[in-house]
Amino acid sequence: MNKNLDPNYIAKFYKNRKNKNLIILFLILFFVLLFFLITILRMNVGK
Amino acid sequence: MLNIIAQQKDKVIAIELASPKDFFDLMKPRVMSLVVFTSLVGYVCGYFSIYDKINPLLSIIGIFAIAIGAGSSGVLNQWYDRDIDKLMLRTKNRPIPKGKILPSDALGFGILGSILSITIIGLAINWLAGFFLAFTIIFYSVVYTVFLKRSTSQNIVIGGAAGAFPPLIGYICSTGNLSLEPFILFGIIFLWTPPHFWALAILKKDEYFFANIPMMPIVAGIKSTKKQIFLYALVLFFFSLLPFFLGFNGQIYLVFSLVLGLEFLRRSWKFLKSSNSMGHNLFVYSIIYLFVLFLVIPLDKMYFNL
Repeated sequence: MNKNLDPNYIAKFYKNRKNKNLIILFLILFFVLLFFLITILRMNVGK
Repeated sequence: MLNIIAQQKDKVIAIELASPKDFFDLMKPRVMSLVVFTSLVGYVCGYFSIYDKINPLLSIIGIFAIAIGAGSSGVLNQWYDRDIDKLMLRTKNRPIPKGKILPSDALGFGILGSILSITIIGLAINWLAGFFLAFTIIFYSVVYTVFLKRSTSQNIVIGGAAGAFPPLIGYICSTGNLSLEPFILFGIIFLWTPPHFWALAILKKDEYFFANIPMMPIVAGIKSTKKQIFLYALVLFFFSLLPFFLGFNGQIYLVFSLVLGLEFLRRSWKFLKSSNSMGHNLFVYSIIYLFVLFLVIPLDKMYFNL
């Protein structure tokens, strides 16, 4: 129980959460771009 | 906030320890790479079979979706099997039994990944590919994991179909359709799966017994399993010659399938007549067998078509 209240632990917890949120943001952007790319390619641009 | 953290100690430990790499490991990267490889073989077979091909960039996106789908079904499998994974030496270090990832997080991750992969392949290729990917995911994570694995010694025989679908989907990624050829690739993996897994199951028999999984060596005995391994290797040997006799592949493939298949038969026979420790030898060879055979299929096609 005490371990969880350790300031270092709390700092690590928030840092970890921030990193994970950034990765989720990156993944969302990646999938937005991917769906955009699929749309463009399916339109047969240049044919 | 601190109280909440303290009260939910277990949950917080899991949240803190889970890194993106743990989520990636949860997707069984080695299985994913094998799936990508076999679906690429299906893709190349389709590529050389018709003139009206799907845009290669869309095909790459399709293969990517297959990898995500395979990984997600692996996640769902580990979510359901978390009780037995912690009992087996081979699986106890996976992220869920190790307490790095919460089961509920894994379930959400697996479902989300499955839906995303089916949507991506459906939009990028077509809904035939989407149907087969959805079928594969459901077959592996529900039919095999929930209904077959813990109830029948034929679990990996029937469940092996899930691992045999990727070349079929890969073929659709290049042609948008199906023909006889990808079903031959399906058959090769389907027949290869029992001897491959049973060689491992004989080695890990005690672990499977402890986890109460009715693998063939436990239910039918080691001698009977070894006989069945040899029989499957024999059927696989003849079946693997079909791509040549049906005109899908040339003489290079014929030579390789003969040499690799005869060696598989020889090792299976030796295993039948020797101690169980030879199982590792056969298990490793079965991986080399499938890898080389599936590498020769596209190379042989390229040689005769380019």
